[in-house]
Amino acid sequence: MQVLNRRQLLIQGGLLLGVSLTPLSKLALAAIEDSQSGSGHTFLSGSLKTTLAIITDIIIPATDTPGAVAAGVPDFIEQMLSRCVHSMEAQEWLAEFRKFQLESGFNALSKEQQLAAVKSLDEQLGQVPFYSTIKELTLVGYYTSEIGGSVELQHDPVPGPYNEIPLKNIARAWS
Amino acid sequence: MNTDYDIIVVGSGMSGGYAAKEFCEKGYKTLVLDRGEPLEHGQYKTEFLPPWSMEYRGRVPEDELATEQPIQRKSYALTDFTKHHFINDKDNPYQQDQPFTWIRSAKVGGKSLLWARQSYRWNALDFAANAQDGHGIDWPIRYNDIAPWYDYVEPFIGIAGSEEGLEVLPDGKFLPPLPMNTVEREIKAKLERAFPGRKLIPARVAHLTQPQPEHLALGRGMCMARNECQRGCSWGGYYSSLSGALAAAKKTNNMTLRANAQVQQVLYGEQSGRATGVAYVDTKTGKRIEVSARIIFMCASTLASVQILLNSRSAAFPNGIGNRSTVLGHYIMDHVGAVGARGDVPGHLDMYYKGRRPGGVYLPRFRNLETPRNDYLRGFGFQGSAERRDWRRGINQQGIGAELKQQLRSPGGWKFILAGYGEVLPDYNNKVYLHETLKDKWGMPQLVTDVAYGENAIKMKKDIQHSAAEMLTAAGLNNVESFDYNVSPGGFVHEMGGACMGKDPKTSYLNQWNQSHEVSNLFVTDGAAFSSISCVNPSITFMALTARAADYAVKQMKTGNL
Repeated sequence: MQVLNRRQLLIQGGLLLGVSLTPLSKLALAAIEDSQSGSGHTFLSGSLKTTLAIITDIIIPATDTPGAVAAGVPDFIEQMLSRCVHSMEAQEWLAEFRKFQLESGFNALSKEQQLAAVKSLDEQLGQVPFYSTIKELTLVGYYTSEIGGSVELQHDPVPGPYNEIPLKNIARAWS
Repeated sequence: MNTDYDIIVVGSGMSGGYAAKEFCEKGYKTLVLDRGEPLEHGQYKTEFLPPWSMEYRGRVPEDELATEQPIQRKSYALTDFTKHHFINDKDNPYQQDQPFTWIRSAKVGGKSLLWARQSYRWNALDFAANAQDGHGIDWPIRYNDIAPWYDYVEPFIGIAGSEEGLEVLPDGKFLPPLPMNTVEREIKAKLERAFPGRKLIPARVAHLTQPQPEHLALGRGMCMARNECQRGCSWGGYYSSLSGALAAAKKTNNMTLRANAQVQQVLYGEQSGRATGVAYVDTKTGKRIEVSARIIFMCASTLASVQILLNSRSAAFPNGIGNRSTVLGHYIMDHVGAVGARGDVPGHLDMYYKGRRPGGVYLPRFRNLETPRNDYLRGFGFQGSAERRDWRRGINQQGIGAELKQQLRSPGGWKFILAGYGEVLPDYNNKVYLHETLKDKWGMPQLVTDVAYGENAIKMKKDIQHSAAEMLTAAGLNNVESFDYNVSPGGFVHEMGGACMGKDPKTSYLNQWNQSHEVSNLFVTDGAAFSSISCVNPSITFMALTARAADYAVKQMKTGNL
């Protein structure tokens, strides 16, 4: 399963994420608080939530900017899987994910072992569907979050006319 | 003549907005009826929202799409930010004998709010093609008839473009063009060297790169390169009927605009032999209302105008008003496309850009001009653009952790894409008609679409795909891959035809003034009037023809002929 297919990625290119920050409305603030509260979803059981959170933070860890968990990514992924893909595909994903968790005993592994397990999944990217979905949604969730989109990368709500600029004038890519 | 209004304009989009402006500015009391909900320019509720303020970051939940907008979701522009500007498919059903994607607006302003803003003049060949190769109905006008009307509408719309002196893509009255970036300039040089005669030029788009006094007077300002146009733009940086023509019409105090007004019929007076007015249903109350006017302009969008006209039955016109020829509903066309190629461009890594440019480059038609091909007729053009890869490149490549994050902090390499738009042949068998029994919730008979791409279009598509890949390879791109997304007719939202213009009342619906051959005060000036489809985007031609027809109608009223 690929949540955004190649074509959607292509055509949503400028639309979904070239998006803007201006004074946030109350509505917007409420939505952010809600999405970061982490309590709303029942798609995953507690131990699977833990596994997902660990994996997303391995893919996008905290560095000099916050990482995936701080940006609310696990919650976003649950939301996408429960609402934004066909339920049958979501169930297939869940079965695969659960199998991986059980077989690897993921939550009980040491940090190093967890990192090694995710690295191994990433080396097989494209061949392990449940992981491809996690990676995709982790990146989408992170870079469309306020942290990913305006702290890690640069948000440019009202750029003014389009201009070419030397890359060195810009510290970080536009989100 | 005692009528409620001088003019009734059905629809408020590209064509309807322009008709309203023309009549209102000339002092005629004009009623504009639109099926959509009211929308005031500037009242765009998602305009300033960043993705993180949206519950699904811009995605629409699957169950909602599947039940509410299974057709509209096929538009690239439908997101959680824009979905309220698209019609609800459940409430507005139609039937498809063959797959046809009917994209419709839910608001006053119509699809002018949602368009891709590409603005090209048709050329001399476009108007002569039907006569030359014998497909479709010969246009009763030629380029010279419409050229002054392009001159007239372009400055008002505001079109950014470059003068190129090409016969195949006539120049217009332009604002400064959108800049081509370093990669596009390099590809231009290489392409034009490898393929003499072909040109890669800045896309011509309806964006204000340098607002003129007439734009500023309407409250429009410079395009801010946000490229979130379909949410609505308070700056009026791109042309929409709401920011442009309707705003101008409003200023005259001659316009009455009624939203939620689904026109179902044009009324016909057996004694007068004229259209007497229209009947519409107020979609909020379900009430049927009749209004009268001297002149009716149908601008409801291609298929909706045809639907209303087919439903305007009377003893004199049992097949729909003005339709003794029974040609109404035939020759429906859309472009063929979603075919092209993309690839990676080496180098230029020291250059980046600020702003999300709302258009890229255009490569005008080069086929079947001097040397005819033997496999298909007519031609195609390409839209394209070069940009740097963003964080999405991380999705399909290996790598995790701090290293991945660091990498995605900078833009990736450059990519370039060319996507073709091809002209289809007008075909009598491609048609729409009214369903005998099925109606929508307001009692309007449902439209049935029976439209498919013919052999000519399918052969052309192969050449589009092949040509794109060939050019990108010649331009030195890496990893060139061609694509064909097999989009159904309607998917380009350039549907045209159905009430075609022509010289002969026996084979066409409208004359050279967009006027019904049989009912002199009935005009159709949206895409339905088109006898062929060119390969370029149609909207400025809708507006030019509308302004021309309005001018004719006014002159006829003044001389007492209408």
